Amino acid sequence: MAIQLTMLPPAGVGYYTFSPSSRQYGTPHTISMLLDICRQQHWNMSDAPIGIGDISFQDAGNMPPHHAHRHGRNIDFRPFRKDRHKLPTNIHDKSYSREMTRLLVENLLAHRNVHRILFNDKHIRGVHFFPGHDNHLHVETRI
Amino acid sequence: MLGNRASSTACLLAAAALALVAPGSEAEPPKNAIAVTATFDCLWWSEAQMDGLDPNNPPPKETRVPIKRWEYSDPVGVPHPNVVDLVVRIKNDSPKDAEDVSPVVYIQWSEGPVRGKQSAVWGQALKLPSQTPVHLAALEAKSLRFPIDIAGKMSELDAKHQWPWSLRAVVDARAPDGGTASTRLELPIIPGD
Repeated sequence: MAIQLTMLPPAGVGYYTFSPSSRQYGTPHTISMLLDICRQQHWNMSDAPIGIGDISFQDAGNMPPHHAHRHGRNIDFRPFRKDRHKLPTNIHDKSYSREMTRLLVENLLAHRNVHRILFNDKHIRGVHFFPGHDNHLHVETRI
Repeated sequence: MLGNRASSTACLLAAAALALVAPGSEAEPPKNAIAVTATFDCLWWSEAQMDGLDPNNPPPKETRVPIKRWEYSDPVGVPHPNVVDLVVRIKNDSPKDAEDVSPVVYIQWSEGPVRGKQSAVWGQALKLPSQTPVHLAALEAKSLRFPIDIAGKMSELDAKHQWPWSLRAVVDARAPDGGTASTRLELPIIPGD
Protein backbone atom coordinates (compact mmCIF):
# COMPACT_ATOMS: atom_id res chain seq x y z
CA MET A 1 0.00 0.00 0.00
CA ALA A 2 1.43 3.39 -1.00
CA ILE A 3 2.34 5.78 1.80
CA GLN A 4 0.24 8.94 1.80
CA LEU A 5 2.49 11.89 2.57
CA THR A 6 1.50 15.44 3.45
CA MET A 7 3.35 18.59 2.43
CA LEU A 8 4.68 20.91 5.09
CA PRO A 9 3.11 24.30 4.36
CA PRO A 10 5.88 26.51 2.93
CA ALA A 11 5.18 29.17 5.53
CA GLY A 12 3.75 28.89 9.01
CA VAL A 13 4.02 29.83 12.63
CA GLY A 14 7.39 29.28 14.33
CA TYR A 15 9.39 28.02 11.36
CA TYR A 16 10.94 28.82 8.02
CA THR A 17 12.02 26.39 5.31
CA PHE A 18 15.35 26.08 3.54
CA SER A 19 14.38 23.30 1.12
CA PRO A 20 11.86 23.46 -1.72
CA SER A 21 8.35 22.26 -0.89
CA SER A 22 8.82 19.34 -3.28
CA ARG A 23 11.30 17.93 -0.72
CA GLN A 24 9.15 18.54 2.35
CA TYR A 25 6.57 15.76 2.42
CA GLY A 26 6.08 13.81 5.62
CA THR A 27 3.72 11.33 7.15
CA PRO A 28 0.66 13.04 8.63
CA HIS A 29 1.98 12.31 12.13
CA THR A 30 5.41 13.73 11.28
CA ILE A 31 3.96 16.94 9.84
CA SER A 32 1.63 17.23 12.81
CA MET A 33 4.58 16.81 15.19
CA LEU A 34 6.52 19.50 13.30
CA LEU A 35 3.66 21.95 13.49
CA ASP A 36 3.25 21.25 17.23
CA ILE A 37 6.94 21.87 17.92
CA CYS A 38 6.99 25.02 15.79
CA ARG A 39 3.88 26.45 17.48
CA GLN A 40 5.57 25.86 20.81
CA GLN A 41 8.71 27.58 19.52
CA HIS A 42 6.64 30.56 18.44
CA TRP A 43 5.10 30.90 21.89
CA ASN A 44 8.49 30.68 23.59
CA MET A 45 10.70 32.64 21.15
CA SER A 46 8.65 34.28 18.46
CA ASP A 47 11.71 35.95 16.91
CA ALA A 48 13.61 32.66 16.50
CA PRO A 49 11.81 30.43 14.02
CA ILE A 50 13.04 26.88 13.44
CA GLY A 51 14.77 26.18 10.11
CA ILE A 52 13.37 23.06 8.44
CA GLY A 53 15.10 21.41 5.48
CA ASP A 54 14.62 18.16 3.61
CA ILE A 55 11.96 15.64 4.66
CA SER A 56 10.89 13.40 1.74
CA PHE A 57 9.49 13.50 -1.76
CA GLN A 58 5.75 13.10 -2.20
CA ASP A 59 6.19 9.55 -3.49
CA ALA A 60 8.28 8.61 -0.43
CA GLY A 61 10.96 7.32 -2.77
CA ASN A 62 14.70 7.74 -3.10
CA MET A 63 15.86 11.30 -2.44
CA PRO A 64 19.35 11.76 -3.80
CA PRO A 65 21.84 12.77 -2.64
CA HIS A 66 20.47 11.46 0.68
CA HIS A 67 20.79 7.88 1.82
CA ALA A 68 17.71 8.21 3.99
CA HIS A 69 14.80 10.67 3.82
CA ARG A 70 12.38 8.14 2.42
CA HIS A 71 8.97 7.37 3.86
CA GLY A 72 8.41 10.87 5.31
CA ARG A 73 9.92 10.17 8.72
CA ASN A 74 13.29 11.99 8.54
CA ILE A 75 13.57 15.74 8.97
CA ASP A 76 16.62 18.01 8.84
CA PHE A 77 16.71 21.04 11.15
CA ARG A 78 19.22 23.84 11.34
CA PRO A 79 20.85 24.48 14.71
CA PHE A 80 20.04 27.92 16.12
CA ARG A 81 22.18 30.98 15.72
CA LYS A 82 22.73 33.59 18.42
CA ASP A 83 21.87 36.37 15.95
CA ARG A 84 18.64 34.53 14.99
CA HIS A 85 19.27 35.09 11.29
CA LYS A 86 17.77 32.55 8.90
CA LEU A 87 21.20 31.27 7.96
CA PRO A 88 23.19 28.08 8.40
CA THR A 89 25.63 27.57 11.24
CA ASN A 90 27.49 24.70 12.81
CA ILE A 91 28.63 23.66 16.28
CA HIS A 92 32.13 25.09 15.71
CA ASP A 93 30.96 28.50 14.55
CA LYS A 94 30.79 31.43 16.94
CA SER A 95 27.27 32.17 15.67
CA TYR A 96 26.02 28.82 17.01
CA SER A 97 23.64 28.99 19.99
CA ARG A 98 23.96 25.88 22.10
CA GLU A 99 21.35 27.02 24.57
CA MET A 100 18.64 27.61 22.00
CA THR A 101 19.50 24.40 20.19
CA ARG A 102 19.39 22.50 23.48
CA LEU A 103 15.82 23.77 24.06
CA LEU A 104 14.83 22.59 20.60
CA VAL A 105 16.31 19.15 21.29
CA GLU A 106 14.49 18.93 24.63
CA ASN A 107 11.19 19.86 23.00
CA LEU A 108 11.71 17.34 20.24
CA LEU A 109 12.65 14.52 22.61
CA ALA A 110 9.63 15.27 24.76
CA HIS A 111 7.37 14.57 21.79
CA ARG A 112 6.11 11.00 21.69
CA ASN A 113 6.64 10.71 17.95
CA VAL A 114 10.36 11.53 18.00
CA HIS A 115 12.50 8.42 17.85
CA ARG A 116 16.08 9.67 17.54
CA ILE A 117 18.15 12.80 16.82
CA LEU A 118 21.53 12.72 15.10
CA PHE A 119 23.62 15.77 15.99
CA ASN A 120 27.22 16.25 17.04
CA ASP A 121 27.14 18.69 19.93
CA LYS A 122 28.28 16.38 22.73
CA HIS A 123 27.22 18.98 25.31
CA ILE A 124 23.56 18.41 24.47
CA ARG A 125 22.06 15.37 26.11
CA GLY A 126 19.97 12.93 24.15
CA VAL A 127 21.50 13.39 20.71
CA HIS A 128 23.56 10.79 18.87
CA PHE A 129 26.89 11.51 17.22
CA PHE A 130 26.99 10.75 13.52
CA PRO A 131 29.58 11.97 10.97
CA GLY A 132 28.40 14.96 8.96
CA HIS A 133 26.02 16.30 11.60
CA ASP A 134 27.86 19.39 12.79
CA ASN A 135 25.56 21.71 10.86
CA HIS A 136 22.15 20.03 11.07
CA LEU A 137 19.98 17.89 13.30
CA HIS A 138 18.61 14.80 11.61
CA VAL A 139 15.41 13.83 13.35
CA GLU A 140 13.71 10.46 12.91
CA THR A 141 10.08 9.98 13.83
CA ARG A 142 8.30 6.77 14.77
CA ILE A 143 5.25 7.01 12.52
CA MET B 1 100.77 19.70 5.95
CA LEU B 2 98.04 21.86 7.37
CA GLY B 3 99.20 24.77 5.18
CA ASN B 4 99.04 22.65 1.99
CA ARG B 5 95.45 21.57 2.76
CA ALA B 6 94.39 25.18 3.37
CA SER B 7 95.89 26.42 0.12
CA SER B 8 94.33 23.64 -1.98
CA THR B 9 90.91 24.36 -0.44
CA ALA B 10 91.33 28.03 -1.34
CA CYS B 11 92.20 27.06 -4.92
CA LEU B 12 89.08 24.94 -5.22
CA LEU B 13 86.85 27.73 -3.90
CA ALA B 14 88.40 30.23 -6.29
CA ALA B 15 87.87 27.90 -9.24
CA ALA B 16 84.24 27.38 -8.26
CA ALA B 17 83.69 31.13 -7.97
CA LEU B 18 85.22 31.69 -11.40
CA ALA B 19 83.02 29.08 -12.94
CA LEU B 20 79.95 30.80 -11.52
CA VAL B 21 80.79 34.22 -12.96
CA ALA B 22 82.58 33.18 -16.14
CA PRO B 23 81.05 34.82 -19.23
CA GLY B 24 80.14 32.73 -22.26
CA SER B 25 79.51 29.64 -20.23
CA GLU B 26 78.47 26.65 -22.28
CA ALA B 27 75.76 25.68 -19.79
CA GLU B 28 72.18 25.50 -21.17
CA PRO B 29 70.20 28.72 -20.97
CA PRO B 30 67.69 28.63 -18.08
CA LYS B 31 64.32 27.17 -18.99
CA ASN B 32 61.17 29.06 -18.33
CA ALA B 33 60.28 28.67 -14.70
CA ILE B 34 56.60 27.83 -14.78
CA ALA B 35 54.60 27.50 -11.57
CA VAL B 36 51.10 26.04 -11.49
CA THR B 37 48.47 25.94 -8.76
CA ALA B 38 44.87 24.75 -8.90
CA THR B 39 41.71 25.17 -6.85
CA PHE B 40 38.03 24.30 -7.19
CA ASP B 41 35.35 26.94 -7.13
CA CYS B 42 31.69 27.31 -8.07
CA LEU B 43 28.85 29.75 -8.32
CA TRP B 44 26.77 29.87 -5.16
CA TRP B 45 24.52 32.19 -3.17
CA SER B 46 26.09 34.99 -1.19
CA GLU B 47 25.43 35.08 2.55
CA ALA B 48 23.15 38.08 2.02
CA GLN B 49 21.11 36.00 -0.45
CA MET B 50 20.98 33.02 1.91
CA ASP B 51 19.47 34.99 4.77
CA GLY B 52 15.76 34.25 4.51
CA LEU B 53 16.16 32.72 1.02
CA ASP B 54 12.90 31.43 -0.45
CA PRO B 55 13.76 27.85 -1.46
CA ASN B 56 10.73 27.74 -3.77
CA ASN B 57 11.91 30.78 -5.66
CA PRO B 58 15.64 31.03 -5.14
CA PRO B 59 17.68 33.86 -6.62
CA PRO B 60 20.38 33.08 -9.19
CA LYS B 61 23.72 31.93 -7.83
CA GLU B 62 26.16 34.65 -8.79
CA THR B 63 28.93 34.55 -6.21
CA ARG B 64 32.12 32.61 -6.86
CA VAL B 65 33.13 30.64 -3.80
CA PRO B 66 36.09 28.30 -3.35
CA ILE B 67 35.17 24.76 -2.33
CA LYS B 68 37.34 22.12 -0.72
CA ARG B 69 34.58 19.52 -0.74
CA TRP B 70 31.17 18.96 -2.30
CA GLU B 71 28.73 18.25 0.49
CA TYR B 72 24.98 17.88 0.79
CA SER B 73 24.30 18.72 4.43
CA ASP B 74 22.57 22.11 4.30
CA PRO B 75 20.91 22.61 0.91
CA VAL B 76 21.44 26.35 1.01
CA GLY B 77 24.39 26.94 3.28
CA VAL B 78 26.87 24.35 2.01
CA PRO B 79 27.79 24.40 -1.68
CA HIS B 80 26.95 21.29 -3.66
CA PRO B 81 26.98 22.65 -7.21
CA ASN B 82 26.06 20.75 -10.34
CA VAL B 83 29.24 22.02 -11.97
CA VAL B 84 32.55 22.89 -10.33
CA ASP B 85 35.30 24.81 -12.03
CA LEU B 86 38.85 23.65 -11.77
CA VAL B 87 40.77 26.92 -11.74
CA VAL B 88 44.33 26.52 -12.96
CA ARG B 89 46.69 29.40 -12.30
CA ILE B 90 49.92 29.41 -14.25
CA LYS B 91 52.70 31.81 -13.38
CA ASN B 92 55.80 32.63 -15.33
CA ASP B 93 58.47 33.03 -12.69
CA SER B 94 61.24 33.81 -15.16
CA PRO B 95 62.41 37.25 -16.36
CA LYS B 96 61.52 36.48 -19.98
CA ASP B 97 58.24 35.85 -21.79
CA ALA B 98 56.83 32.35 -22.01
CA GLU B 99 54.96 31.60 -25.22
CA ASP B 100 52.35 28.93 -25.77
CA VAL B 101 52.12 27.56 -22.28
CA SER B 102 49.51 24.85 -22.34
CA PRO B 103 48.11 23.08 -19.30
CA VAL B 104 47.01 19.48 -19.68
CA VAL B 105 44.36 18.36 -17.20
CA TYR B 106 43.41 14.81 -16.33
CA ILE B 107 40.58 13.97 -13.98
CA GLN B 108 39.65 10.76 -12.21
CA TRP B 109 36.57 9.78 -10.24
CA SER B 110 36.63 7.51 -7.23
CA GLU B 111 33.53 5.36 -7.76
CA GLY B 112 31.87 3.00 -5.35
CA PRO B 113 28.59 1.80 -3.88
CA VAL B 114 26.28 4.48 -2.48
CA ARG B 115 26.69 2.99 0.98
CA GLY B 116 30.23 1.74 0.56
CA LYS B 117 32.86 4.45 0.37
CA GLN B 118 35.49 1.94 1.51
CA SER B 119 34.91 -0.08 -1.65
CA ALA B 120 35.38 2.87 -3.99
CA VAL B 121 38.10 2.61 -6.60
CA TRP B 122 39.69 5.18 -8.88
CA GLY B 123 38.41 5.04 -12.43
CA GLN B 124 40.23 5.74 -15.64
CA ALA B 125 42.06 9.05 -16.02
CA LEU B 126 40.21 11.28 -18.50
CA LYS B 127 41.86 14.13 -20.33
CA LEU B 128 39.82 17.32 -20.34
CA PRO B 129 39.53 19.25 -23.63
CA SER B 130 42.57 21.44 -24.16
CA GLN B 131 42.36 25.20 -24.04
CA THR B 132 44.18 27.75 -26.15
CA PRO B 133 47.81 28.01 -25.04
CA VAL B 134 48.55 31.18 -23.11
CA HIS B 135 51.26 33.77 -23.48
CA LEU B 136 52.80 34.85 -20.21
CA ALA B 137 54.96 37.93 -19.95
CA ALA B 138 57.81 37.87 -17.45
CA LEU B 139 56.45 37.21 -13.97
CA GLU B 140 52.88 37.26 -15.27
CA ALA B 141 50.17 34.85 -14.04
CA LYS B 142 46.96 33.80 -15.78
CA SER B 143 44.06 31.60 -14.72
CA LEU B 144 42.14 29.12 -16.85
CA ARG B 145 38.83 27.49 -15.96
CA PHE B 146 37.91 23.89 -16.64
CA PRO B 147 34.24 23.15 -15.83
CA ILE B 148 33.53 19.66 -14.50
CA ASP B 149 29.98 18.28 -14.48
CA ILE B 150 29.48 16.65 -11.09
CA ALA B 151 25.70 16.25 -11.40
CA GLY B 152 26.18 14.52 -14.75
CA LYS B 153 28.59 12.05 -13.19
CA MET B 154 26.13 11.38 -10.36
CA SER B 155 23.34 10.68 -12.85
CA GLU B 156 25.56 8.35 -14.82
CA LEU B 157 26.47 6.37 -11.70
CA ASP B 158 23.02 6.47 -10.12
CA ALA B 159 21.72 3.83 -12.53
CA LYS B 160 24.38 1.47 -11.16
CA HIS B 161 23.67 2.48 -7.52
CA GLN B 162 27.14 3.97 -7.41
CA TRP B 163 28.40 7.30 -6.10
CA PRO B 164 31.38 9.42 -7.13
CA TRP B 165 33.12 9.62 -3.77
CA SER B 166 35.91 11.88 -4.90
CA LEU B 167 37.19 13.84 -7.86
CA ARG B 168 40.91 14.10 -8.53
CA ALA B 169 42.55 16.50 -10.96
CA VAL B 170 46.13 16.36 -12.17
CA VAL B 171 47.47 19.40 -14.00
CA ASP B 172 50.66 19.56 -16.04
CA ALA B 173 51.78 22.87 -17.50
CA ARG B 174 54.46 22.94 -20.13
CA ALA B 175 56.27 25.75 -21.90
CA PRO B 176 57.64 25.01 -25.40
CA ASP B 177 61.24 25.47 -24.28
CA GLY B 178 60.92 22.76 -21.70
CA GLY B 179 59.80 24.45 -18.49
CA THR B 180 57.27 22.24 -16.72
CA ALA B 181 55.23 22.23 -13.56
CA SER B 182 52.46 20.10 -12.20
CA THR B 183 49.99 19.91 -9.35
CA ARG B 184 47.15 17.73 -8.22
CA LEU B 185 44.16 18.15 -5.95
CA GLU B 186 41.13 16.26 -4.77
CA LEU B 187 37.52 17.15 -4.06
CA PRO B 188 35.73 14.76 -1.67
CA ILE B 189 32.05 14.34 -2.58
CA ILE B 190 29.89 13.73 0.46
CA PRO B 191 26.24 12.68 0.10
CA GLY B 192 23.51 13.50 2.59
CA ASP B 193 22.39 11.00 5.19
